[in-house]
Amino acid sequence: MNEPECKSDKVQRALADVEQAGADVHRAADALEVAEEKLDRAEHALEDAEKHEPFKVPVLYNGLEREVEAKPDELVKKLLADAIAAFPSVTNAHTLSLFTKDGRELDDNQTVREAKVEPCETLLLRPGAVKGGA
Amino acid sequence: MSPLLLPARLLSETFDHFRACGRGRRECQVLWTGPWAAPETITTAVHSGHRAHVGGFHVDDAWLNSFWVTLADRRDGVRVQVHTHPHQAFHSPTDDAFPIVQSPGFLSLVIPDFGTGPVSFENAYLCEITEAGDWRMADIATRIAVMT
Repeated sequence: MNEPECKSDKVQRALADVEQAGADVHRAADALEVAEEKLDRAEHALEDAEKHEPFKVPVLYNGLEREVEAKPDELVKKLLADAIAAFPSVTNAHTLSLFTKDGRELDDNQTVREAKVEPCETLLLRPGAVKGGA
Repeated sequence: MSPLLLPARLLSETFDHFRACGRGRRECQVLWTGPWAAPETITTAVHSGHRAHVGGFHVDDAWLNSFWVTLADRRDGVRVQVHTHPHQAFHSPTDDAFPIVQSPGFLSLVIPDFGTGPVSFENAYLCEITEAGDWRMADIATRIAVMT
């Protein structure tokens, strides 16, 4: 007499359920592994895109707004030149710099990524100093 | 070129700022702004946040940053920067080098005697930025029309 046949129907059904659940766990584990690999690849692709893909930033000058393309690997100096070019009426451009809305002046010699400029972050094109005197 | 339209009350407000802030002892600055939708119209006299002494002023950096954002929110632009001198009105090298706007046609008006004289353009000095980016004297009567 085989061992299962010695067991009651109830126990045999429970055994079958356990075997089935075990198989389900294995399938789920395989699927999880595949999904985790996909997630890993997607996260790497996102990181890569965020590091290198250009994005748009609004730039304000004297109450006017223009959209300028920023490239993470380019120097802020280039972004500044593009921002100035977006306002054709600007003269004496050497007196102007880019600032964040909270007043941080961007360093011309850093890359856009190093300067922590984010997509859609509003930048201010304005004089570094305004003063007068007799 | 059409003159800028300046309500008389804004001229009066401007002198009020000069007198309250400068007290006849320090320079002071006011910015005349107006909507980009009607660039010839001045609608506001903004007293800038600044540090000043008898011979000069320096706009506060944090104030300037905040003002730049406010201008965009209101869709306004600065049309004229106005400041006082202790005695004679003229444009100094510092005035030339550090304006708030760097665009051709932008006007800078200097008021003599710390603004303690008559509420008018008497003995005032006006200049504008040229296409080349330098400054040239401009005629007040043809560039600014006071609306009573």
